[in-house]
Amino acid sequence: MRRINIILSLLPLLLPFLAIIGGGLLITGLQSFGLMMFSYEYEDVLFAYKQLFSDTWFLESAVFSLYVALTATLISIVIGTLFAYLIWKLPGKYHSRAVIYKIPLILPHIGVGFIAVILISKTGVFSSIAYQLNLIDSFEDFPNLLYTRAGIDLILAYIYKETPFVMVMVYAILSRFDKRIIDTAGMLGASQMRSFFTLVLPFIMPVLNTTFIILFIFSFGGFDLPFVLGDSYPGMITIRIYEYFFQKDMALRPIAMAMLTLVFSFSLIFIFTYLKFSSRLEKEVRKL
Amino acid sequence: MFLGVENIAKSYGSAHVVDAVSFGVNKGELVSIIGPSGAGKTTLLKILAGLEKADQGAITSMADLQNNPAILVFQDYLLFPTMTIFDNIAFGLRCRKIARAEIGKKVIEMLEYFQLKDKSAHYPGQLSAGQQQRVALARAMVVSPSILLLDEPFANLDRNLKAETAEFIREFQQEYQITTISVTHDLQEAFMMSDKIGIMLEGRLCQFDDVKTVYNQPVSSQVAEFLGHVNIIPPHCFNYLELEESGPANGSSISVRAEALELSREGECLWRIDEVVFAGQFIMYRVSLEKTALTVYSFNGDFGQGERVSVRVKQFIKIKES
Repeated sequence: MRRINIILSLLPLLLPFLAIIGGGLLITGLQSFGLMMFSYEYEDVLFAYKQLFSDTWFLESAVFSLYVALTATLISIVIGTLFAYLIWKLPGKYHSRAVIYKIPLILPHIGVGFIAVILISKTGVFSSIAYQLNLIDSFEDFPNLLYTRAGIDLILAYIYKETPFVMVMVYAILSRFDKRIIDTAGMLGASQMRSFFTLVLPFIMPVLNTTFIILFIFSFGGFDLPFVLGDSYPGMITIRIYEYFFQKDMALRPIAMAMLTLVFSFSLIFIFTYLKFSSRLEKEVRKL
Repeated sequence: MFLGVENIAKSYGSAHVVDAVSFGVNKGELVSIIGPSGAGKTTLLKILAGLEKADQGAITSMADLQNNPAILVFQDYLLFPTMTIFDNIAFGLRCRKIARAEIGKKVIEMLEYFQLKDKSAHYPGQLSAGQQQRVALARAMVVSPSILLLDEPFANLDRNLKAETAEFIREFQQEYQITTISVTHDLQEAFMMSDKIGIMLEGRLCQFDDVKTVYNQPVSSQVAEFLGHVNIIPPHCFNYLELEESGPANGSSISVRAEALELSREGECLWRIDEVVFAGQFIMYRVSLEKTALTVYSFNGDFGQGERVSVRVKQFIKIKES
């Protein structure tokens, strides 16, 4: 009876979830096998997957997406944690002034993309400053940071956008950490470094894990920044999905759906593996 | 003098939290600084621990504070929540890069002494307040501090645990001969365990002396009042009381603690009981004669409201200022 009541009370939330997300996932999955494709029929239900796995462009695109998302997220986590820790250590009166770091949070991703173009393109602000300071002889000498195979522009833009998010998350959990614990550790002979790695880090680790998952999944499946900044080859996987969905023949839509299904499946496996690994790691850290 | 505190002062804005405090502690002594909340006790302790900087004054010590610093055990113990009890206690030793086998030996010694052996693999959140306090003490003691500083050691304990803890602190303090300074507002426990007591009121150390002197010869009526209810008895009432020692020759009032008065049905029963309050460990009586009212703490609950009794003064306190 109690369980029925709980389910009934959750229905307003569950119904849209089941209808929109569950339904969407179902249709995506089915269409990736060429089913429910209206007037199109496919002899081989796995044709989309076969085509994808035989396409080096897709595989390179997947690796590139993974590389960009992992690099950007890891760097954001490190920088964001460090900055949040430094702000937390400041005397209380400076904390409200440090709110400036939240500005990138309110900027839309596409806005950050345009800022990146304005700042780091060959004719951008940094290039102009370098030219005015006689650091380069012409705009052509300015290093090419946009649309590179290394994805530097994408990674920088994601770091700019994600670091404040990490800071917000870490600062929130740190505000529950008693600073006198650091004092106590200091009296017992611990260095600042030891206090951070043995006391602060294990305390914030659960939040770092959650933040890592959120940011990784978001940048792995993000579209707007790769659309503005990404290189056309191999390009982020989301750009490939967009092309297949909107710009190619309707008959090729199962390929877009197969990519979406793979991205979703990968994300699920990633979350599961990461959580499993991180919980084991947390136990190990506790043993240190 | 093992530790000398000279003229220490600390202000936050216009508030003088610690105001020209001076006292000295001998090696192996247990000193309690008592005072109400907000009297500046914890700030003084933080200054002694090096966590706060004094605006003026000096701290001198014969101890090797570089190698064996003073360690402050906070009121809420502040155990490291992500570490087991073993690791909490081993923390200071690991910071000193002591060999693993030696660490294990020392920690086990501490676990045994502080009766925590079966809690070794537990996390702080799984322990009671009393057990957490013992872990905090063990964690501090394992690194052989030169001075142990205790911030409100009884604040988070149940009433019945306080006296037991005071005895335990005294016991291990004697065992390890560790010079200890404790700040508390629990009078009874402080008196039980201390060699010397300091009374701190509004940032000033009003009196610093041995336990009995502070209790029986307070330096001011303010100090006397802080240590317990004091009856001020005017000289014209002396004839209506049984005084065990003669009153002051100069005709001034005497100060008598509520527990130093005794009610009786013998002799001239002139005092009327106006109020009887059951206070658990004792009975509080309010008695009066004409315009003089007295408060009496007694273990005897036989007397009733409205009854006439005689009052005996067992001992009066000699306030130095008066």
